[in-house]
Amino acid sequence: MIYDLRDFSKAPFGRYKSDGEFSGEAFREILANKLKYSQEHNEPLIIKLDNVYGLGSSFLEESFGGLVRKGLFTKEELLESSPRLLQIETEFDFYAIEIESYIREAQS
Amino acid sequence: MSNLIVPLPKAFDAKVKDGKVYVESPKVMCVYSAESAYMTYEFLSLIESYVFDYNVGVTISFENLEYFSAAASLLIFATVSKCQIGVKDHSKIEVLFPKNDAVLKLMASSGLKLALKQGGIAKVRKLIDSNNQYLSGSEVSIENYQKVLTATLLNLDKHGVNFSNTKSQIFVKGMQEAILNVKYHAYNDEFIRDFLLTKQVKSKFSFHEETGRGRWWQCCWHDVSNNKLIFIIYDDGEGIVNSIKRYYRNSPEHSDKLNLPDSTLLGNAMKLGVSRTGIKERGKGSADIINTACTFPSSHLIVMSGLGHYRHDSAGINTTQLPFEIKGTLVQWVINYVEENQDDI
Repeated sequence: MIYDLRDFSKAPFGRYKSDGEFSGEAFREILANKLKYSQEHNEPLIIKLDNVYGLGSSFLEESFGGLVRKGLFTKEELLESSPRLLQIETEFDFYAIEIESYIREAQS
Repeated sequence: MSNLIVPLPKAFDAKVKDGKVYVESPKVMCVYSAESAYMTYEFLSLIESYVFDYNVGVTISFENLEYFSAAASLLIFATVSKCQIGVKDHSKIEVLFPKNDAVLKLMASSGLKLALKQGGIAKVRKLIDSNNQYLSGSEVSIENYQKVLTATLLNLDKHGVNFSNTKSQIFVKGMQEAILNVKYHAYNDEFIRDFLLTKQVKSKFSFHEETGRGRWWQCCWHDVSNNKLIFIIYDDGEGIVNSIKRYYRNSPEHSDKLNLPDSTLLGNAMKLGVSRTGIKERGKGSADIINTACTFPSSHLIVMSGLGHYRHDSAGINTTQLPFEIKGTLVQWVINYVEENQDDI
């Protein structure tokens, strides 16, 4: 399954829903549902991050790190399953690296 | 008016005129150099004092202005718009624009002239709707963080910024975190409580409670001729320095740091991963902010708070004491922005 972040917002912003309509907390809810579906069907969820204005660390940490912090998934489920459940597609490697670090830190 | 005692400093040619206090700006308004910074900030503080402490109308003359720097322009916008929002009768605040054609032209083309024109909160919100370079937002939904950020991005888009570009992405990352920092740190409950308690001695008007809590001011533009992206943000909240002092007061292991100069405290606050919330996953915003400064040559980050001045660029970090005490926090990025191929990165 592929999900394009632009379908959520071209200008995602903030950590909590109180920060605005397109926050990390709001995106995490969508992510969690799609990950659950993908997990049940043993297929990866590919998140496309490009063609948005920019992604702040608060947004990314709450969206992706929050998946583990809130006990929705473990880092093993997200990153170490075969096929890898969560895959990030972006021309900017630093986003993929950042996201993975938040997931790993959230479980440590 | 004739019975009211208000300060009328000669340095700003201050006088009572047409029922208002008339003040003349310094010829140079700039907070980067010690020489002009003190007078710039004193001028702006005086205007705010007339409106909120003495409750008098003001004619603010920029007629003899010959130069204004980017950060000073934001502080001008912040002061003037705060006064404009804070009075019921808009005619109480009058702005006279520069007589120097080049300065006036720069004010107009930058969006500052529109931002300073007469009007209250409706004018400020119209700036957001029109994606002006100078914007002010608050927690009120009609002018909230998301709306201001979107207006900023649309403005950059309109002025040719390519967002499929590493530098643009990192710039926006840093910008987002700076705006969020205002929400999470600038106006905490303890500060609002203490601020209101002291201010109520002089004035029953609570600016932030009545016009929108968490207010901040920002300017952002693409300087095409110099290949720069510029973003400056200012709040008149607690300030990073006071915030760190409060954190240290509440942490016995850090109490020895309270006597450090503001410049050092500011440097401490800017270290990566420091979050005054004490929550591990918070405090990541500083990395974004610092990355925008030190990743690219000819780019820099400046932060001013209290008496502290912090500069970070590819050469390293430099902290100094300011010649004036700035209320709140001002953060400025200048990023060298040149179109690039992804293959070159």
